[in-house]
Formats: sequence, structure tokens, C-alpha cells
Amino acid sequence: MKEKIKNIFIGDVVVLAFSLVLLLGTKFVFHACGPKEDGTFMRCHTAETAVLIVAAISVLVAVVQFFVNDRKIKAFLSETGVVLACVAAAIPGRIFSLCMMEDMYCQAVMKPAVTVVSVLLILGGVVNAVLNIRSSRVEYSDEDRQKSAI
Amino acid sequence: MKIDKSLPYKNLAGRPGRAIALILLTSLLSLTLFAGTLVIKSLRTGLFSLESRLGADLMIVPEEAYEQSQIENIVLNGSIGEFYMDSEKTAEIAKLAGIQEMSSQFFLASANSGCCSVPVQIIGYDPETDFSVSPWIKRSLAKEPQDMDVIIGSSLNAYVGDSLYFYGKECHVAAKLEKTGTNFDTAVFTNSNTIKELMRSAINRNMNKFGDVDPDKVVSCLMVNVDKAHTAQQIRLDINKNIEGVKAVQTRDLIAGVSESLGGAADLIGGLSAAIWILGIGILILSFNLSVNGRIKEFALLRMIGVSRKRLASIIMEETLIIGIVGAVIGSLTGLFVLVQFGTLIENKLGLPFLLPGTWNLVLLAIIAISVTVLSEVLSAAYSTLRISRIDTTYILRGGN
Repeated sequence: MKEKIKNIFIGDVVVLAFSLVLLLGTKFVFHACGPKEDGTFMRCHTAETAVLIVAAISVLVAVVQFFVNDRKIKAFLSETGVVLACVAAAIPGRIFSLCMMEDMYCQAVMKPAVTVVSVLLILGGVVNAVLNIRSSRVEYSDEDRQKSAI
Repeated sequence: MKIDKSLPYKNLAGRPGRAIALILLTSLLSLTLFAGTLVIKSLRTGLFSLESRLGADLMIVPEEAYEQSQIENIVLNGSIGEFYMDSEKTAEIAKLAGIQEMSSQFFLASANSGCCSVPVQIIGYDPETDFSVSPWIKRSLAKEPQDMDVIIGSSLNAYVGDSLYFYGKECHVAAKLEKTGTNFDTAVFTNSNTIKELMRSAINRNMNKFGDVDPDKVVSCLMVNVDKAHTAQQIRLDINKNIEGVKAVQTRDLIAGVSESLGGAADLIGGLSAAIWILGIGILILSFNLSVNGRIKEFALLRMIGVSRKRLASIIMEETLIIGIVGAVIGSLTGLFVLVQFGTLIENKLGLPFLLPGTWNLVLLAIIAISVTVLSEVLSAAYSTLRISRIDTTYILRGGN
């Protein structure tokens, strides 16, 4: 049981780390194209903002997971994280269109980087959700056994 | 003695740390082999694509455009540019012996492409005489482009039926070309009437950075194919000697630099991959040896309860195969995913044509990478397996090693 709790804790840390990479990476590293000469932004800026919002919610969900003890709620939060990561992956180029040419920064860097980090987040979230669901089953079956013994 | 067939799986599940470390190492080997080979193959496919897209023996450009490497920059480096020469040169060159076919092209840099601040290269061609770009444009557009129709490269984010505005003129996207892995992927092609109209519009709007030229009296470059009785080199020398103000360039020479860079990049990638492989195989052999040493009493016990030497070796080999297959598949899939995602970035950073091979080639390459990795894994474990199948059980169980 201790081993499983340790695994779940590691899972929470991994999911939080990937969520932070998505948030900070999109803001500072694999961001959208810079502003035009006249100061206005290109269409990819909307996609960047949308990814930042989804990533911020992802971080929030990952942080909340640390303070929740109930395995079923933890599993639900992990599943929410997976859905958010799917949405983040779909934002650049699918939900919101990007700039004109594939060799522009938003197409060559932001889109693939957001996709890769989102896929890692999805994998981490799925593993975390499975661990939590398994653990909740063990917990509840232990409780049932105790109740029937009483 | 019959042993549960799932013993190898149980052994791996019992030591998850060791199994995960070996799977990660194997996936690194598979990823290196697959990604390294795929990058080299994509560069070669890109070069072949560039060669076939240029599709002419000679390119004739204004002398100053040649001296400033403008043609090289447009064709090879993806720079945006425009240069013009008197269209009367066409008639002069056509008179020379050895010219089999000749067609003019026009280059124009757009001020912007309707949505973004980045200009695109507009290339105008004459559908009636063209032989260099028409063959691959026809694969995407069966009919000839009408006036104000444009055919866009695969890397442009617009689709058939969309409208694009260049110098205030509305152009209709008639077709989107297939990916070539070259700088033509970000270019826009149109017929000579349309590009002349765009040039006139640029002049009217005072956006003509190309100077005061009459669009009807200039061309940017001439594409030439020589007949069988002459060589491209002969005609090149002939043009450079007899026609003033122009420079003939053999397309083979233009690509030679790219070909050299590609050779250098391929050697570097191949060398790095080989170094990672040698290191990885060394670590694998060491890991299997250490792992077998750590489990020697477990194997001795199995021998004591009646497991044959052959079965003992097969248990270790099954464990190795499971690790090898899982690791190799993970590595190859990761390599494919990352390369497909970051292909454009790799192309930009290398500054070389880069075109991923077709689906079946990718599948074949993945199968080869997985097979080679699994085979290497099995060979790495072979010595340890042989050693363990010859253990002196009683000596080990008495406490000896």
C-alpha cells in the first residue's frame, strides 16, 4: 500500500511538472510569433492565449490534487487534467488557426512543442488516473471488509 | 520440470526498476537508429525533390543577381527577392545553337500575404512554354491556371477556394501543391499575366521596391534545357561569353553546395548515432552481466528444482526479448512522433531541403530499426545467457560465486 501511495505522489509531481512546462514554456519558450511592425498581433496570438488559459487551469487542477486525499476525487481530477491536455493539444492549428507559413515560429515551434508536452501530460494523467482508481478500489474493499467484520 | 510460462513476465514485474531502466536504454538505441536514419533519408529525399523541382539544365539570370547570390538565396535559402532583366535577352539567347526549350519566369516579393507580416515569394511562369514547374503543378491542378489564380506551396496556411490579397489585388487559390521539402513550399505560383498585373499594382501603390520597370518588358530568369548534341556546360560558356548582362548557371552547380552540406550533416548524424550505439551496446552488455550476477542464486535454485539449462537460457532470452521489443517500439514511435512534429524546425535549422519519406518507407524503416535493436539486445544478452546456463549449481548454493 505504501508503495502505491508513493507512486501516486510521484504521479502528482509529474503531472504538475508537465503542466508547469506547458504554462511557462508557452509563455517564454515556445510562444506565438512576435508582434507586427505596427504593434498588432498576428492570428496565432489568440492560440497562445488559449493555450496559456488551459495550461493555467491544468496547473491549478494539478496543485489541488496534492491536497485531496480521497482517491476517487484524485482520479476524477487526473481525468480532468487529461481532457484539458487534449484541448491544449488541439488549440494550435486545429481549434485556432495559426500564421500563414509553416516555417513561422508559431507553426514550426509552438504547435509541435505544445503537442509534445500535451501528449506527455495526457500519458502522465492517464497513468495517474489508473493508479488512483486502483488504489481507491483497494481502499474501499478494505473499508467493506472492516464494516462486515464489525 | 514444467515452469509457468509467465515466469519471464513475472520476473520483470518483480523488478520494475531494472525493467524500466533497460527498456529506456533500449528505446534510446532504437530512437537513435530510427531518428538518425530518418533524418539522413529525409535530407536525401529533400535534395532529390529540389533537383527534380528545378527541372532545367540552365538558369539564366541578370549578372548582378548572380553576383549578389540572389538566385541562390531564393532557390536554396528561402530568401524573398526580385530582380529583372530586359526581355529582349530572350530572343538573343533563343538564337544560340543547342537550346532545346526555354521559358521565362518572374519573381516578385509580396508586401504581405493577407494575414501576416511575413512576405512570400511569388513566382510567375508562362504555362505555354514552361517545362520546369508545370509538370509538378499539374499534379495538383489539371487545368491551366486562369488569370488571378494562384497555386500555393504546401506550407502556406490557405486552401483551395480562399482569396489572398497581394498589393491590393484579390487572387484565388486554385490549387495547393504537395510537399516538396524545399523553399518552394512557401512560394506562390501564378501565370505571367497575373504576376505582371501584381507588379503594375505595386507600381501604382508606390510599393515597387524593385524600381521603375515596365512589367511587359522584363523577365527575372530564363529556364533552359539543352539539346542532346550539346552539353549544358558548352551552352553555359557560350551564353556567358556572348550575351552581355546575364549569367548562365548550371542547376547542378547550384545544388552542389547543398549536396556537400548534406554530406557533412549526414556524416555528423551518422557519427553521433554510431557513438551512441557503441556506448549503448556496451552499457547493455554490462547491465545484463550485472543483472545475471545479482540473480545467480535465483537461477541456481531454478536449476535445483529441475529446470533444464535450455529452459533457463530461454527464460533469460524471453525477458530480453520482451524488454527489446517494448523498448524498440517505444523508441521508434517516439522518434517518428518527434520528427513529424519538428520536421519544419529541423529543416529551418539545418537550412537544407528536408522531406520525410512516404508512409510505407516510414513503416519499413521502423521495422528495420526495431529488428536491429532487438537483435542487438539479444546478442548483448547472449554471453550472460551462455554463462548462466553453465553455472555450477551446488557451488553457488554453497556460497561461492
